[in-house]
Amino acid sequence: MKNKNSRKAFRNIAPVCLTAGIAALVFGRGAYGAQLVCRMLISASMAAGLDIFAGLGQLSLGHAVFAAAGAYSCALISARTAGSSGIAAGLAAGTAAAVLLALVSGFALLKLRGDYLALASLGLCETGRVFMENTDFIGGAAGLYGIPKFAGPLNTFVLFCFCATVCAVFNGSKSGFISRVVAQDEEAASSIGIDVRRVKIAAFTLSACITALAGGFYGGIFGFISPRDFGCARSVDMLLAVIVGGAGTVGGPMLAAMLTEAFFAFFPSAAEPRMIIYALALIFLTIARRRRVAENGL
Amino acid sequence: MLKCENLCKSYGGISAVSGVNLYIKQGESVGLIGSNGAGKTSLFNLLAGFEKPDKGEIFLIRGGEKTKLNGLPPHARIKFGIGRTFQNLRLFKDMSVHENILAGALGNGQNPDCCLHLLEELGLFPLKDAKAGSLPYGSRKTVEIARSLASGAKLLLLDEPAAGLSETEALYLAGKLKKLRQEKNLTLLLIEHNMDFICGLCDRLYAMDSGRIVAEGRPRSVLHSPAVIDTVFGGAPYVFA
Ligand SMILES: Nc1ncnc2c1ncn2[C@@H]1O[C@H](COP(=O)(O)OP(=O)(O)OP(=O)(O)O)[C@@H](O)[C@H]1O
Ligand SMILES: [Mg+2]
Repeated sequence: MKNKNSRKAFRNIAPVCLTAGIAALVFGRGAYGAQLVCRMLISASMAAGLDIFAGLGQLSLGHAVFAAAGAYSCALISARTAGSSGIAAGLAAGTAAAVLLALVSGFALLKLRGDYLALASLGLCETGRVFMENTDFIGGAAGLYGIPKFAGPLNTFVLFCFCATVCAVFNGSKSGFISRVVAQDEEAASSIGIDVRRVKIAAFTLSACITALAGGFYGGIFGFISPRDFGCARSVDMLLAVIVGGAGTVGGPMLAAMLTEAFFAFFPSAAEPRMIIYALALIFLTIARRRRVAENGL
Repeated sequence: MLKCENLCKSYGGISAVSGVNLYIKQGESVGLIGSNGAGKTSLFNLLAGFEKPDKGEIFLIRGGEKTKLNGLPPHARIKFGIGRTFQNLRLFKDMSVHENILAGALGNGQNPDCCLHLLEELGLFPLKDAKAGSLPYGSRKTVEIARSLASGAKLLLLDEPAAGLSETEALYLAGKLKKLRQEKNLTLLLIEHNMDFICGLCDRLYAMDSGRIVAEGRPRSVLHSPAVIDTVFGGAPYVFA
């Protein structure tokens, strides 16, 4: 049973890791190509993080905050400490910051569920943006410069595979199974001894960690980050990848995130009406999966 | 095993449970009857920790030791062996029968090996890979009981286990419950509208009306008591099938 689950989880991620590897090899030449590949793989890794939380049957529009926590912590530390040890320390600090933030915000947010949770988490995202824009210490609205440009196709590919593996292992584990049980029915889950709140906070925290780790790499692409990189649009990007790719499948959301990044890179004129395209995509998806949506949500 | 004193719960102006005193001894099988809206399910919700009582106390008594359960959430009460089923079936619909029962075992840290045994015992083995949501109604009810047993329930609160079952299905279920009760030394508290079912299974009955206990005692004497004839059967005494 357990083995069957983990094998299934790995079968889900193997093709997407292969696709990512091929994309990195094909596009990863030249400065522009390398940046594009990094963006694709990092977005996919962020989406993988959110997917863990979505596996609980809940939607978060606040995950940009965790990406920001990772990016800013890593940027601040790696800009001051030279060499790879600075980067490693930065990534670790970013993940730790996300854990702290997820525990504190999750404690309050996870009392809600469904639409209420989605809206409240959007509030978290906005709070994060206002905080970043008005804190001079982290560069305010102008952002942070001078971050080492450490992110390349190879190490972001490693990040990608790492995130995919963590998610697959989680999904195949007992904790993953319990999360799916909670997603099905919270009251019934608590009647058989599952501490629903603890399960939710744990999944939220793990999911924040992965998103933050990917966020840490984000600053390493251009050597520059600003609050605009981590606004609500980033949360929406992640959430859409999860919904379009299929919540809880890991491979699906990661592939969807990569394709979206690539699509907007090849059709830059489509970036402007991005939200219109998203809205249309959502409408079509809802129609296509009408029955499933009615029964289980997206 | 379980005892509650002066339990009260009201929703807005409606007092769903008011001043209920009740006890269940270890190994006993106790029935709870009452007309629709009498407050039976509300009482279950208080006992299992799904709602907080406005007033009153709930105790678990084991070997002379008295533990107060007030304030403990449902997932903590199953650690004391208090499990329940739901009136409006709450299965993990998209999961298989086996996974539903496995969830029970893993959820409360029980050995997952008990699942196959339970599947066998409750006659669910042939259905083990079927999606729980796709099963016929009677089997779904059985899966819910199996899930609660897998989570280590010793005191099982069953909310209308025979509702919606055919006569043969109800008889079959009653037989299974009797057998399980002996084998696993279970204590049962069950809500039912099917009087033949409840009389065949229970040692003692409580009757509720408007949130209060109106009668208590041996099944036949409760069913024939004037208060029950008046409130539960609407004036005409119950005639056994
Ligand atoms: N969550 C709630 N909010 C408001 N009112 C409630 C709630 N739960 C129960 N009630 C009310 O409490 C009263 C008792 O309801 P309860 O469900 O306990 O009845 P019951 O005895 O289980 O009836 P039935 O045989 O129909 O299942 C009813 O009047 C019901 O409307
Ligand atoms: Mg009821």
